[in-house]
Amino acid sequence: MEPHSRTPARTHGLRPLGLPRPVMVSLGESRLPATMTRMSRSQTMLAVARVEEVWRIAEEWWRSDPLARTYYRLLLADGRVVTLFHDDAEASGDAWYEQVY
Amino acid sequence: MPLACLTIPALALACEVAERPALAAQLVAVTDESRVRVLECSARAASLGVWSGMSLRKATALCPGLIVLEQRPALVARVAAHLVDAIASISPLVEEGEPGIVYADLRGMEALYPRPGMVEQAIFDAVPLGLRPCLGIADTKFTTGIAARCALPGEPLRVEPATAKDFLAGKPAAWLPLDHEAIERLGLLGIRTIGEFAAFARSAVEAQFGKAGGRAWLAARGEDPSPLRPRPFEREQVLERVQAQPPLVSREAITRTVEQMLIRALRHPRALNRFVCSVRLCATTDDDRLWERIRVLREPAGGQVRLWAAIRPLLEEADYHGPVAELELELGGLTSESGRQPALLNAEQIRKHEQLDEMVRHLKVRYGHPAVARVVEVEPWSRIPERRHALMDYDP
Repeated sequence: MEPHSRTPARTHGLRPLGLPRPVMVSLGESRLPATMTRMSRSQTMLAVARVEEVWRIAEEWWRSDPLARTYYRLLLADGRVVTLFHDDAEASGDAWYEQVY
Repeated sequence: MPLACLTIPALALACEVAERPALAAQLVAVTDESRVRVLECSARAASLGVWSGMSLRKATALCPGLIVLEQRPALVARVAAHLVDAIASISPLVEEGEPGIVYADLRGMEALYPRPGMVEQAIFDAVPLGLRPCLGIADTKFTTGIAARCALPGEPLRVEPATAKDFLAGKPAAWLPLDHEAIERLGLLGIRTIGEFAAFARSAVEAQFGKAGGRAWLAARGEDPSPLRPRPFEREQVLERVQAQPPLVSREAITRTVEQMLIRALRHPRALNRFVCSVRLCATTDDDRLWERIRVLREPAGGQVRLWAAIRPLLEEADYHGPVAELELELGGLTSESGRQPALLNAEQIRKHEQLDEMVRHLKVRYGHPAVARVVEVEPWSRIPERRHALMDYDP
């Protein structure tokens, strides 16, 4: 009998793009981001000049690991615009990420 | 040696019990896919009045402690395929009946299994654990099937040709190989057992039920003329399987994954420089529901572009029953190349493409993994940025 070519199952080879990167954020008096620090070697602290927009995403609330994020589009003091989000579903309550939106 | 029939009674329930043996002693019912009716139930539930086909509402009212399980077609199909493979390891001539029923021709196997009971034991040993198979052995197909139906799990029931007619006589007439309408008519005529049916003259039976009646009459006397129809010899095939964790929820992600599976399948040594006659695609959802399509190609096709043109429409029309946890792609009926018409006008473009592929292959050899990837859209509408696009290995 001809041997079967059945290959062992493997995981699918699609790798996500634009994964969020963790950052450290300190909040101002209005509970909005005041500074952000990237987890790079230099760990430079960047001041936030203005919060341009805030929006919230809540998805897959029916699953065991729902997704809840509050996004902030920030204008930094050096003129750059970045998008951060706070992971509202994270138990520690202090999970901030930077993401290309 | 004659024919054998192996059955797994109440296959859907047996699959669940094999996975969770504690269910064996419980009040259990498996529902059909619409979740409205009982498909199969355990012996304990049956003793309390639950029967196959009963509405689920009635069944739960009758047995308040009834454990209701949803049917898992993918699991059942997997187990049924294992069963066929198991019997095929004993005898090369195997016919697959309904899921969970397999016939095998045991003639000519005396040299392999010389002592009585050896072949029966070999069949039971080949069956996956926990399934409680029933085995019947007889000279004709119909008698073999009835013997398997009456056998106790794990205890083969052998019916000798001389006693076949008597063995069948007391069995219900509803088991005769007749259509539903004919069985109803038998009931109206007051014919309750196979023996009562066999007692009529063949001409009388054929006058009422036609040729099918004549065949059933012969079967009822232990002289069933229908032969075993062994499954055809399988031509070479290449099978590619992928498990997705988390399950794939978007059609684009599934399409891209299948595209990558096709590339990998075509790289299999068996598929190199070969043409493909048929394509089978199978998707299993995370709750074990099944979607399957088979496309037999009008003429053998080779190469990624031509095969993708055949596969893509299947994916576009697909109606998955939920998030897809496993995908299977089978390229079947591999044949030798039957000739290829080379392109005349875009030869330069093809040459550049081949050069690029060659460079990518060199890079893969150098770094040990595909070094070049393509950006593909996965869920472009998603509000979650990392789900919109993905990198797919470019691996020619």
